[in-house]
Amino acid sequence: MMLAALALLASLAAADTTRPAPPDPARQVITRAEIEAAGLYRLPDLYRLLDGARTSTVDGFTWRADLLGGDPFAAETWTLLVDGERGEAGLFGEQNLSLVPVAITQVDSVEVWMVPRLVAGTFAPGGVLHLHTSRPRSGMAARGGLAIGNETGDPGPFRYVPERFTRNVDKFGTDYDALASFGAGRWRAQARFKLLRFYATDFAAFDRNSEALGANPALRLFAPALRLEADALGGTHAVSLLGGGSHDLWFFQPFGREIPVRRLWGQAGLHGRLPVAPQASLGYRLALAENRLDAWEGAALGLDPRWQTRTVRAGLDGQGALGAWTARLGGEVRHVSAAGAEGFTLGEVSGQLGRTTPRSAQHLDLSLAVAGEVAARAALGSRHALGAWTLGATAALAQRLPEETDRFSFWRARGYDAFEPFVAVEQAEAAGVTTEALLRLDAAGRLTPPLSVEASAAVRTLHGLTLETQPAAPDPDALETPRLLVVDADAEGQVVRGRVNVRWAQAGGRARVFYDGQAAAGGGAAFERAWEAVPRHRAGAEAAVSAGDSFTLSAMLTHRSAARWPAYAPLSGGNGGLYDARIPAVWLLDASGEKWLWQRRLRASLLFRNLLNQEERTHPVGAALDLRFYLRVELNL
Amino acid sequence: MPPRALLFLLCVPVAVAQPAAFETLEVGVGGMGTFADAPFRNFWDPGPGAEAWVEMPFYLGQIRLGESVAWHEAVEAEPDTAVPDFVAVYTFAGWGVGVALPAGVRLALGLRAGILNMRFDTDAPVAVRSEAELAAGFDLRASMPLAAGWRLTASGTAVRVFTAERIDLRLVQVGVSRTFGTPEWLKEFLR
Repeated sequence: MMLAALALLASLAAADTTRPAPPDPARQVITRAEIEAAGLYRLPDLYRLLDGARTSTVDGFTWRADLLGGDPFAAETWTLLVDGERGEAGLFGEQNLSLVPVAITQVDSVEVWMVPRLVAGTFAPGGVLHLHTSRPRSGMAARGGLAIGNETGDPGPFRYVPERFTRNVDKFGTDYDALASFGAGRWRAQARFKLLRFYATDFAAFDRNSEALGANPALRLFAPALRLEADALGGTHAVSLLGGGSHDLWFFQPFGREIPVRRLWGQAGLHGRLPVAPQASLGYRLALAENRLDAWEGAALGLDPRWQTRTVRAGLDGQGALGAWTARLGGEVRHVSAAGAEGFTLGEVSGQLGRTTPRSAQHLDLSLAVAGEVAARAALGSRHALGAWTLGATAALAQRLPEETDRFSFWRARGYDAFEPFVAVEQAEAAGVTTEALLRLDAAGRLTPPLSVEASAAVRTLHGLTLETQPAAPDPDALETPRLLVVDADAEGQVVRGRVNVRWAQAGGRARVFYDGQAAAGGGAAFERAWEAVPRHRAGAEAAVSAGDSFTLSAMLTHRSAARWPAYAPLSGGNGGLYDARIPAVWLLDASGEKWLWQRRLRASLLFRNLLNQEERTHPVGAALDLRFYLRVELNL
Repeated sequence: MPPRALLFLLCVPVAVAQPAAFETLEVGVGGMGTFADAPFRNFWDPGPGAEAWVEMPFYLGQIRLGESVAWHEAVEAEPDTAVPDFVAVYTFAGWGVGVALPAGVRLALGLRAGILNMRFDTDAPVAVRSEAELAAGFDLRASMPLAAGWRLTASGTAVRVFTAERIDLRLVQVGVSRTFGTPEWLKEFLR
């Protein structure tokens, strides 16, 4: 029936679906040039360039982010795509970008959607972060690099003066990454890897982690990938293998501290698109992913968090165009099985209708997901060009199934008992469907030729939200303390957000001044309590100047407002005063320089973070990151 | 016109008319003295050292890459604290802008940042026989011609070592330098 519908569309098709539409203000694109100019060191550094994202970390290695306005330490509900394919490296609602087999130097561009929409065959209610790697081209190409970083504050010669002795602090790397690609005729292949090291020796966490490991906590991570592409049968087809493994100190919020773990994940995928008529095509996707969590051998925490899931996805969609109109209809089935817990099967049917003209674009995304219950979602987006301005609006009403969020409490209710009896879960009612409504308005345009402005305002209302809260945060240093996790499966609340960017750009330089604010605007006690931990304001300025195409200097000054974690109040002042429920407001100044050499075959970059040496801390028992620097050298052949 | 303003007007045209990036290569070497305050000075006595560097015109101003070495002897006046001697190797990159004064004298003010590597004379485990930390600060440099291509140089540098307990060092250097035209292959590489 779907093919018949496509054939009908194709038969009616008229030409001209390629006319450019006004750019979508709800979509942010970060280019490779911007990544290089900012001197980014590792993949999670991308979060610093995202408009309005809130980020947090406990150790300075694993960063978490929220794209639509929410607590970054709650489940990250955004969808990660790598070259058009969903990345399945998440664990209990944590999207660990470090585990994704893409080094920061291998990113060609990043596409970020700050609104719900249909991508890769399924509805993404929490926004999308799509990593595009460098596409293989004809001939042979290779790229490799190494990078190191260091946080200041080591003891130096005072190591030998007992009354002035302090411990060494965090060291990053040496990291290695490499990419090789080959293309001939209709075939292209790309292989890449990254190898990361991190010494988690921040004072706030050193004692508890070195005690658990019996050694200096050195984390290691290896992530390889292979991608084969072929042009065949009139379309393009890709096979990809993605993977990652790490010895990590995984911060598990319900447990209140890091757990030394070994993580392993792998994913095999096949996707492509075939033309079935001049203006119609058929797309297919198949993926198999496995995710494992084990105790780090030799770690002395006395806890085995063993966990293993296997995910199989299969999807099919057809799309066609008729003049300015496009239509898409598809479905996907996902089956997740878990060792020691009850798995599930989720089916989704989705469709999209779009209309694009040179002065306007509209799309309507619809989706129906079925697992234990049924969830319906719709997103309507529209944008219009008015002179030098583009005005946009997005309205979304989306329901989300508990199966789609991958929370710890979800799997706990299905039999995952590795944290018994360390974490007791108190849940009055089973988690159900979360309903979310979002309205976002955008405006973007030119003020005078070098000056442009982007602004947006959004309101987001949630009902039936599942919140995992803790009345009192567990003491990370006291393992015998019982941990209680209270699951509120019917929380509700409302969030308002606003953002403005003023940009200036001319040959040889660009600058930006930005502000974004977000806050809870009503809701239940648990919701408002969770939101106290999210900084309300983020503002700053950045500038970059270039000399030709071989040298760039950039700097970014960011202010982040204070926040407070009420559950951690009893721990404030603990661990020698290093624990504090209050997260201080901070001014962060970063500066970087990059120089290309040898006709852009060799690149060196140097990045300084936190030049003002302020207390850069995002979690009550987390690291306070001081002035640090990163050096990267990269060879492109 | 006040003398200072006249001096400024004389200097500005010379200061902006610098060679194209990487056009010349200045190689220098000199002796160096290190001065420090307490508490560092209570435990170590910085001895004489040496510094070598290369400097080139950049897109704006000059860049300099260099390395200095200085011996630091433990102060025996602290009998309860037996600290080892160490060699400080400072590898740095710098940038500065200069003005040309009459009689070929050049004056430059710059920034530098690098890694101060401290190698201790001790039998302690290998992992703690050396320490490295970021060290950054300001330079004031002066030079005058000696003979064709040769210059006498002198500089004063204030450097902060970003250890947990910050160490402020003052480096004084006197030496000579020789300026060459940069080989074409090197210019191509650098551009």
